[in-house]
Amino acid sequence: MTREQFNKDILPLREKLYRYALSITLDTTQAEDVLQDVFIKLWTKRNQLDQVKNQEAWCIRMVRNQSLDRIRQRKRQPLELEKVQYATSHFATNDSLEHEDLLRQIRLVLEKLPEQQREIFRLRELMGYSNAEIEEILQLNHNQVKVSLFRARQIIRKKMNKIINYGV
Amino acid sequence: MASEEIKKLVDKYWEGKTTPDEETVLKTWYAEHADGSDPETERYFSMLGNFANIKSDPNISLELPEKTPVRRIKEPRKFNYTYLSRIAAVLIVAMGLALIWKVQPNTISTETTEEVYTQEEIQQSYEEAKSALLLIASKLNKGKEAVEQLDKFSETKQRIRE
Repeated sequence: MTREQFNKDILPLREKLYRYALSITLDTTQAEDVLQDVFIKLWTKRNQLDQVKNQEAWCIRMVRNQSLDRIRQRKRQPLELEKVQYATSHFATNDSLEHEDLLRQIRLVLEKLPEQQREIFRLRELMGYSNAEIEEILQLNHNQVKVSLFRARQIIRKKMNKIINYGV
Repeated sequence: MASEEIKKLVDKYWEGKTTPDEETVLKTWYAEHADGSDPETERYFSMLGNFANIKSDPNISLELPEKTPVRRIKEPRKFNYTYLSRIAAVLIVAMGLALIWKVQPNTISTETTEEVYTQEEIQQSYEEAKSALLLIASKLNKGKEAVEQLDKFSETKQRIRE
């Protein structure tokens, strides 16, 4: 794959991949780091990309793995002072504060869901993928996606009621 | 206040029957028309709608180094046609021997050649066997040439693919 093709086919996925990383890490700094890592990986694997049937699904899977790795690393490493300062300055703008509030709401919604339902919720509700696309990304069958999505919505409906009425 | 159409769409959503396009309608509608009449639904769909509008920091550029080495793709295993011709040669010889064994089992096992055939007959059989083997060898060589051409074709195909 040439640089021109890469710029044409892969770079436009930037915002989608960023949002997906954000939906997993729920942290703008982490999501940006994931995005940078994933694009470097994609660039080094650009010859393989030519042979991939669904490039977007492939990229999404890469973001997922990279984001989950980041979360695992974050859990293992204690937060360094330097990073705390950077994070504080990063959230200084109004936009970032709004994002932070939004991410807090999403975290509340997602936290009670089992892993598979959470993943399907991210792809369908936050990313807007169809069930067929989710089946391909997660390598699940039609029924698994349909049932998990339905159950996730039922749990969230109850959860939203609690958030609104009791603030939990 | 949500219209009847939007309310129906919300019910359809909780039943898991909406399409992604219908869900986009809900997210957009609630992000723009939240009036507090149905806080639960408004907050939920506007949250989803707002998330869809989040953009990455435009000041962060994705640096793709020019000189990043390209990871080599594992080459598909090349089929070895010469190896196939060797197997074929061994099989032909084995089949020839089996045929001889089957046609004259008794002569070979019970009587010695000196007792049954004259020297002349033995010589004649030898010549015939020799000419038959030479014929097989010439055919094999011809086949091998074709196989070499296939090898060359396979190599060229690989080079084009690279």
